[in-house]
Amino acid sequence: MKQNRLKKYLSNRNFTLGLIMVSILFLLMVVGFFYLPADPNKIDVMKELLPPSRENLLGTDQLGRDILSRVMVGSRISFFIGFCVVICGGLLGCTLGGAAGYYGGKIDSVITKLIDTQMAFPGVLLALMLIAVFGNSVQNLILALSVMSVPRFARMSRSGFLKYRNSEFVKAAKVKGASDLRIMILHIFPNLLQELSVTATLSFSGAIMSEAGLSYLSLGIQPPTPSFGKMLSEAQNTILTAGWYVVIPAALITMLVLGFNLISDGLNEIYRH
Amino acid sequence: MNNVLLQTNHLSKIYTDDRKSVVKAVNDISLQIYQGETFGLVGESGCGKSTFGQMLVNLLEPTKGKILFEGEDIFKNKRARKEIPQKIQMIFQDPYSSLNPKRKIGWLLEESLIIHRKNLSKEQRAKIVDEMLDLVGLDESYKDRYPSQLSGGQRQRVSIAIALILNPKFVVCDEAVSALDVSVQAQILNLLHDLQEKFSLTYLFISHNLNVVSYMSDRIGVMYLGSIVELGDAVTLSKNPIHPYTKMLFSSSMNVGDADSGKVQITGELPSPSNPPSGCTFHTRCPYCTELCSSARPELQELPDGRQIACHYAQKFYQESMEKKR
Amino acid sequence: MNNTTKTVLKIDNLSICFDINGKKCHAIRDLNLTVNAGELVALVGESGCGKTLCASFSMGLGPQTASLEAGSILVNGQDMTQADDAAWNTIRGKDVSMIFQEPMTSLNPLMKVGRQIAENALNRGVPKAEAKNKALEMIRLAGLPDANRIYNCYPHQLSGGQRQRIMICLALINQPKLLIADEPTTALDVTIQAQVLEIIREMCTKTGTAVLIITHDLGVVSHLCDRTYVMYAGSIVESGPTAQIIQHPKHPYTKGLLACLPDISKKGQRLENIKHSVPPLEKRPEVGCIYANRCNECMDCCTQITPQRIAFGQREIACHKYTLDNLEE
Repeated sequence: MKQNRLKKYLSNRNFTLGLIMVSILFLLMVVGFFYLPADPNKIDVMKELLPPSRENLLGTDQLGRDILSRVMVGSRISFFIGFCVVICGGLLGCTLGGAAGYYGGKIDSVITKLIDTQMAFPGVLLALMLIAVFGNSVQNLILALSVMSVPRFARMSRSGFLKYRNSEFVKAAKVKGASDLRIMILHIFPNLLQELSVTATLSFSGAIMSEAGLSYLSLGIQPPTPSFGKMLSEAQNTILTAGWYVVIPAALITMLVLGFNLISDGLNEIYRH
Repeated sequence: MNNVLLQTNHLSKIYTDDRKSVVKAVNDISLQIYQGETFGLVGESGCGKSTFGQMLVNLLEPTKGKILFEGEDIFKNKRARKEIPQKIQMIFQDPYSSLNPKRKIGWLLEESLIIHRKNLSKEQRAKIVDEMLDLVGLDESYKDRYPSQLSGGQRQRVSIAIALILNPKFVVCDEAVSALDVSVQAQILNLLHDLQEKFSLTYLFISHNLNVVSYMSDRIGVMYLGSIVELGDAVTLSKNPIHPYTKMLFSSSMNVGDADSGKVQITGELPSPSNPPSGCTFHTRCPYCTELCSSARPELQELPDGRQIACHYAQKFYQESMEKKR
Repeated sequence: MNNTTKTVLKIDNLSICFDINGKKCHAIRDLNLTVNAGELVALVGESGCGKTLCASFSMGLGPQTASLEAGSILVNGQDMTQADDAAWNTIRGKDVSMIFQEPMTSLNPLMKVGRQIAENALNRGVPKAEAKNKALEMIRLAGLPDANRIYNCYPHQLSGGQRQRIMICLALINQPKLLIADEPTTALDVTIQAQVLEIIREMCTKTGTAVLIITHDLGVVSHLCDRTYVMYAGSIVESGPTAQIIQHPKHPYTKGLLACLPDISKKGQRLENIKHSVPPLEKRPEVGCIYANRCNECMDCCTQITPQRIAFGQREIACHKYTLDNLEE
């Protein structure tokens, strides 16, 4: 039974391809916790902008830091932020959407209006504003990105709760005397997990992309902590002299985002059949 | 059989929408259901029989009227409301959609105990669940299965087990066997019978299938557009229906083997409940309709043989039927 | 020669398989069925016994996943076993048509129902004005009051019973030789069901159309049909004139089905029932009687030898309990 299910997932090409891409980067990150080829923050002006060699597999940046090590550490930030944003945004979004869908009426119209307003506001602008007001830190970045991902979760769970609130099995649970909270969490929510996993992977990749974007604008992760976006912005000055330096973070961001998007597409296809 | 277990007083459920159109889904129903009996409720779809059943289990709020269970108003206060599941339970029509597809059978059964029997330990709960499964003819191994792994009949057995696990006195069976095949339907009907004897249950048996209702019930109420039009002993009613609607209903049910002779002409369809006919709601389809019927609404009256009927010409029809019998 | 023209549907030794996890499973096994011109025939069985599958193959609408193993289907004397879509299209709607359980899903929600009926005639080369008149006449025949108003209605403006009547008009406008009705009244209320069945009977008698009604409701069968086929798990277990089958059922399954119907006369008694339920496709035995595991008269040979059909009079039965000798007694 379980093997069959695994087979079903792996036989989907999109899902498998995406999983491979994400796994490579994930492995790179995990290895980075135990072994780094060099100190990612060690500045060595003698080794400035070296091309890939045996010593520095991916070359060095303009301060002579080992790019491979920086990439390994930088992927932590991407995964960490993606994870936090999905958890925070998902929790908040599902709660709001769930309440709106399940109770309907006034609660629904208030929450829906709130979410519509949020969506009408450009996400990056919101993040800029939050960071400008509360200062530049990882927590604030996560907060901003979480707020940005709320509508997606809220809409999805609202439609799910709306669909199931009048279903027979919810009625059956009501006849048992189950409380609203119990019905929402234990009865309806498990039925939404499939759709939710699609939304979650999409949000994950969205968060990674936004983080890279904000870091590129020097608004996210502060130096010297490495992050893909930051590396990209540093590399653009040397784009003509040291092409590889720009290619590496760009390729990794693409791979990560594309990987998650492929997983999400794959999941969608699997659940639909 | 003389103790009233459940009584409704002028129970109504009225839906109003923005455009001020009013639908009286259930219109002023007062009836008594006695301890240990099976009360059948029949009618066409949209006549309000399910709405009536759902009000008894607190799925729908009555617009007007009261429900008395053992003489006490079940909506009296918050505490009384919370106790409804332990007194009144429901078996749903569709065994495919009434069980949560993501939950195991054991979990679904145990849930009622977790909610209402907080003092039980995990082992005690498991024991009750096993006993319950055994009672409905399933073995323990079903606890770890998902609803999708069960056949329709097995699922309906699970639904019955869920309904009975809190030892309620009153069970609303809302089309409980309509979705099942005849061979399985008979198994479930027998099971319901056995359980009724064992736990001295009282059933409200809602169905559109007259054969099933008249087989199961001691008394039958016939509903038309939200009101009871005839109510009486099951045998009397099915052998000798008096109300023109009851007659039409019984003559349109197709029994195996009975002849077509003496069929009542069946005409028309159920009028829209949002715009019910004036006077007697049945007058648009009634072959005996007169002017009185379209202007005045008949009240329920009792006939000499004990049945209640809402028809202006009840006495006349009754006399005629008595003469025919002779 | 005369015989072939009188038979509008003849299914011979039909076997249909589904591929489940690499294993071939029979959904229909060795099925024989004939419908003669002007006859009302019932195919009765519980859900999952393959009756709808049988009907869709008789219309050339069998699912892609099902494969025709053996046997032949003759519609109106024409062998359609290997026919492609184009061949089916020439007879569908003209020689054979079908009505379904849920009329709402089989009507186009954006087209007036009258047009939909007329369209069917237009497709068969009837001129426009005549098609409209024909459609109006069909609506009148179906017992719908105010045909002109109904003609201009959209499906959602009609009730379930009215929609089913429209479906009947649609199916019968070209006066087909055969109408296949798949659970035509299951979604309807009893009072409407009686009316709709009456309409089917009347209209088909008028147009000379033979009807194959597929249903699980023995009550409907006993009131409407001349002949009955009782189907269980993909096989016909008993067939013959309806009255004989209802009054003197022979096969244990038919007996069981009739005995487990609730009725006021059985009040207070336990209902007889058939143990277990219909086995799923992949668990059906390859040899032996398919009903053996639920039968309460099961003998040793039942699980080992597949019973053959025995014909006696107008009836056929497939059960080891009977031989030609003990049937004729």
